[in-house]
Amino acid sequence: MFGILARILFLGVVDSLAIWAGTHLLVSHNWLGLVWLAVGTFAINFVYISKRTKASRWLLPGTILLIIFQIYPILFTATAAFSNYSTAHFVSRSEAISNQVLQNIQQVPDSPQYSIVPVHNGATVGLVVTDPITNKVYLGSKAAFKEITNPKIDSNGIPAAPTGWKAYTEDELNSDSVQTSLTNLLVPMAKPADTYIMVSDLTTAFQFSSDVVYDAKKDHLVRKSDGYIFPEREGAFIDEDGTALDPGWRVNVGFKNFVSVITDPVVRGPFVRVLIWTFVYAFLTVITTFIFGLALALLLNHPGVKGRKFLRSTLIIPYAMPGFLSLLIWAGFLNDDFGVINNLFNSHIPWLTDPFWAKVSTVLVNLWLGFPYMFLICTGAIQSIPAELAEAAEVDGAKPRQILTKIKLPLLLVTVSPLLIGSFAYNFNNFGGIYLLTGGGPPVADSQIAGATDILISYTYKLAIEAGHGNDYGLACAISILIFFIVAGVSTLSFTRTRALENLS
Amino acid sequence: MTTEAISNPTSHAARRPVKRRKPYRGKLWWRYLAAVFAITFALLPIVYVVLAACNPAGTLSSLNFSIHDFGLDNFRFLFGKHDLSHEVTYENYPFLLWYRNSLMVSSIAAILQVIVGTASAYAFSRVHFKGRRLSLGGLLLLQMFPQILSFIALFLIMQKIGAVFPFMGTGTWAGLVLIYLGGAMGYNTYLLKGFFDTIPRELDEAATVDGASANQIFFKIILPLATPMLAVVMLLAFIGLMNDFILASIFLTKSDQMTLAVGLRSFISGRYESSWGVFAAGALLAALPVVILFQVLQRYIVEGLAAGSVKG
Repeated sequence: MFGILARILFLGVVDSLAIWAGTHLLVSHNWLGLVWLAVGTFAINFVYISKRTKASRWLLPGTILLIIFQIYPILFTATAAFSNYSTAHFVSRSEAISNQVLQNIQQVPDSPQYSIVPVHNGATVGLVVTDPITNKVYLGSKAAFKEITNPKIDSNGIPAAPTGWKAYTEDELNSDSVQTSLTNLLVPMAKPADTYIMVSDLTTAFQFSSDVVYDAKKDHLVRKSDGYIFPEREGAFIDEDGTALDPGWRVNVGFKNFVSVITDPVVRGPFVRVLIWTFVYAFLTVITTFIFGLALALLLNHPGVKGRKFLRSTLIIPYAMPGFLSLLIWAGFLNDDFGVINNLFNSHIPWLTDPFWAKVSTVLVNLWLGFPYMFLICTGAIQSIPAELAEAAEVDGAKPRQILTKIKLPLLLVTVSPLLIGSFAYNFNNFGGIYLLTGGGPPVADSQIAGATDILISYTYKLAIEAGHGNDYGLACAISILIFFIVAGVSTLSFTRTRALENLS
Repeated sequence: MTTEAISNPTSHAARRPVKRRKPYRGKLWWRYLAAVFAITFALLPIVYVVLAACNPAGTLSSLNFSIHDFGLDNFRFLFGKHDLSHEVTYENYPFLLWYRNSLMVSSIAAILQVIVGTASAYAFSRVHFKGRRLSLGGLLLLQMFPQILSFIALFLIMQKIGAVFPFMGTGTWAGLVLIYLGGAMGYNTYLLKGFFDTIPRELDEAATVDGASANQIFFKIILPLATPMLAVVMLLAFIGLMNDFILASIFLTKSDQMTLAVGLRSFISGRYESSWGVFAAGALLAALPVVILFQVLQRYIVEGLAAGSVKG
């Protein structure tokens, strides 16, 4: 009974949210979104009403979230990796065309001055335009320019918005977003051809025309004054001297991004350097934290040592601190000029500004952050080794050192090696560990983007959003796919290797 | 390897009579030395953070800390009782509001994550369906994809969601909860599935014989047995979310929607000046609940770590 009520309540909430979202999509003519919404809502209803569904009723919520927030972003990254998506190519082709038209637009010399009323229909902006000569009233939007037959005109001579449209209120007109969309609005006029109405202030507009126009029939961009047809190359219009016009649009470039990682020296140089350092960093981090943690675990996990509980509680603290805070604090500690570390040891080590020392810093700080983790898992693994094994070996005359190296360590390695692999995979992509500490710096001469301590993931991040002169999102996505294959490959390989080890023993 | 070491002892050692030795105490001092060294290494940085936090002119270089420098102005500022300058005011840096946002985002997301994850884990552990192994493997593989670049796709999704439901679009903490929920089917599901597998199937079978439905088995048998584990997974998720910096810093830009992670950083990359003292004080307060949770849950966390969960 309770189950049925809960189900009705749940489906009721889902369906009403879906209807709310559906009306919104309907108004903004988003048909694809509407189809997806309908499919999703139907699936949810079916799964929780039908009596025959078994696994899906448990898996559906997680799966929907997984598709929206993990699988879709991954597919997006994968498709972007095969495109030229970047600062210079981030719009659609039609947006690039209207941008070129807009860049060459000028007011028609003898344009009449139209009086306008800015309106909207919930989704797009429009203008109610009064022709000063004929006194006819038109409704203009970016799609069309149509005459309004029998317009309602009030006593001040201002026409009312046609049905389905609403005039903007005074307050709405003051908002920045409305003003931008109004100033960017190009209303194409039917006659004369290639002429547009553009807003000059909130009550008046003029005729504009552009020297560069789009020929819809031949699907190309042409300059009227000399008839030059702009050729297109890799998602951009090319002018006479061969330069690509900004902005370009996003096109598929196939394997170009992947190929340039291998062949283009400008990309390959830093990529190989960063790749090597990524492996070194992940390896050193795992090894140093493991050795330190293991040594502590072996030393402190001795029945004679008093206060072991207290030791464990204390040593766990660096691990319990939120990682990003620790990293930011360490970045302050290691500051060359006024950091604690150089003050404490009265040294002048360029911890964060010298390529070598910056690398040392990243590993050292990660040691501080990570050794408690290794200490804890090693302690756990040692304690789980049955005491009988060591006793039996002792009976057989094994020396303590032999017990350690021949019994305890091999058993311990079997237990912790999956965790070491996990730790390697984690540190291979330990963005915060690098980015919050050194920011990837100090800079290196061979690349304007990749610094000395950048690992692949931070390098990729910088390529995607921080690069000073144009972000190469397509290349960044290609590299992140390579990262995925490297991490997945290394993990799968070592997991099967360690499983084989386990079977052997 | 181990069996070999035991069954093939050196021949003369086997014949030697065995004395039960007491663990010797003579060489304990160097174990304590190691303990002192490790504790110094672990705590020294934190001592400096405390010193910086308790110094109104706090920097991370103040070595010559004297009792005259001691003051709690940094903390008073964070609680809105004291403005540091006419620009560094509580209005610009509403620490308590960030704290509330952080606790709210992390706890709501952690609870929902565990609910969704538990349901999925139950299906993976108990319901037989085609492609179960495959989808479980795929789930693990998905977690290896570097998600750092997915923020552009996430941005586009959140804009669309925000257009329909403005209260959970980009820049709102409710939207951030939604993004965090995307991770509900991940390592947590895997951990919980492993735990459900340890609950004997005979229990389910007996219940089925008695006429219990799948729902009843889940709610009346599995859930009560798994409650302690669920609590631990939830708290681990909570800790992980409290510590998230990257996603939060990308999506939260308005001061009143920020979480601790994003807000605290503005003290040291701030518009006006970097205030390391305030940052240190805030960091201590932010770390407090997490460190306490770690101490209380130590035993379970160690078990969770051994099962393969990694702190994010």
